[in-house]
Amino acid sequence: MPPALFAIAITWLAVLAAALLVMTLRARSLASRILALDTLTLVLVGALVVFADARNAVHYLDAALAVALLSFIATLAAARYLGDGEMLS
Amino acid sequence: MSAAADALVVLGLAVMTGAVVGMARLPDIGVRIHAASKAVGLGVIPLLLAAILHGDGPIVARAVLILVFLGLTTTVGAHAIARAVWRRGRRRPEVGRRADAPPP
Repeated sequence: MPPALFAIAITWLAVLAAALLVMTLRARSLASRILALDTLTLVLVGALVVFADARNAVHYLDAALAVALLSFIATLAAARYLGDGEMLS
Repeated sequence: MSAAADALVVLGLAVMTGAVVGMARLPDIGVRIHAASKAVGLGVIPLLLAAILHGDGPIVARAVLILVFLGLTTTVGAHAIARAVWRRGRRRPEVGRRADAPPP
């Protein structure tokens, strides 16, 4: 990957992540906040994948998989708290 | 091959931009679940495909693993959020109502 494209991709993903962070902080309801946080972690996964592609290193993809797993579990737990009132029934 | 991978990266970034813009500007939580789950899921997939095109054995294996995992879990996460919103009682969508219709 040419370094110009890598720089543009990482900068643009950082801009998207900042926009999603602002959306998380300004969300009007808990469901919107959970959704924005889930999307923010997926943008982070995308940034890690771009790093792995540019540096041809495999450990970034391990980190991306871990972040994806954690975000999925956190979204499920938060959605369960939102819907049922408690998380570990 | 490298040009195709670069084009895939640009495509993935464009789809993720559409997802974030959709999340910001769509009025209702249900429609925003659409934007967040589908568009971000479909936006990360071209990035992973670019990594698969570029890389060798371990990278391809892990990228396929992340692909399968994201394909399975974004749907379940979106459904969990939608079900939680449903159980909280938000059952009337803000979109799709005529402007001159009486409020519910």
